[in-house]
Amino acid sequence: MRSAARLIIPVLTPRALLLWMAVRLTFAMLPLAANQPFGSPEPSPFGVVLLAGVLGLLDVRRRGERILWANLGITQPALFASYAVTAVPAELILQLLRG
Amino acid sequence: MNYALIADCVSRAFGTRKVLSSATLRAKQGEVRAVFGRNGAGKSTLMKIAVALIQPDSGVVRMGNVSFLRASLPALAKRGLFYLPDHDVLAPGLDLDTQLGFFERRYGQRSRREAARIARVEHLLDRRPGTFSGGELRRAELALAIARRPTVLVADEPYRGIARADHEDLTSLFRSLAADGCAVVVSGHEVP
Repeated sequence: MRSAARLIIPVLTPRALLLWMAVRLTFAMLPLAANQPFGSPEPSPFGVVLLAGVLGLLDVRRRGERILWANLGITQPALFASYAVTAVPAELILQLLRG
Repeated sequence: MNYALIADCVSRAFGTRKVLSSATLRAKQGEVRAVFGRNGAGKSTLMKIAVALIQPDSGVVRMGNVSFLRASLPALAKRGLFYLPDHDVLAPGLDLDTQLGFFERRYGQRSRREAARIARVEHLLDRRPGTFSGGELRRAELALAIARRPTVLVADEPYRGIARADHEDLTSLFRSLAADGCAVVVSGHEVP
């Protein structure tokens, strides 16, 4: 049996990156939406990674792929990890760019 | 007697409503078994417990010689089970070729082309499931199972919403899977 990672990484990584960007963009826009451009606290990178994982699981459900992945022997924690792990290097690069 | 899959004496209640009480489902290699009953009789709940999508309040699920007190569908799928739910199993956003390719690459049991040929869905490979007719959709779903070459296939209401002309095709596919050594269980509230 071929490993689950080799199967899901090519499919889920691009989606996970888009999802991470959407999360970051949402956090960036929140203070503006609340009319407080300087007043909102910055979310922790760890929180963003966890949120990316949870939203990833919801994304899989929204796309109607839950049973498909389950029939492929891929667990929910593995799907969560695929989304969350992709957000880790993205967060690291963002922190580096911010200095 | 050895069964490929057993949901043994399972019970399940949702709130105060008892849906199943000491129900048993047994799937045997090389046989097609049918679970019939009216709507609300608990067929889908029994199927979902058997494939570990729902945990029973009591009872046990066995696959081969292994008993699971808290099984999961991915764990059973790795051991050879394929579940065809009463809603669509194909992802609407991916074409059929991609989805068959997942099973070909993951399990290496049968090529996507061969599975599509057996299920007579070769002409649908580059299309997404949303464009299929009812009968095509069901054959495409079965193509996934054929690519998987499962030891147990559990199909919940597979005859729903398809033309009478497609019933015979579907039954032939179930029979050919059973002839290949698969234990097939189908449910329905009408005899096709």
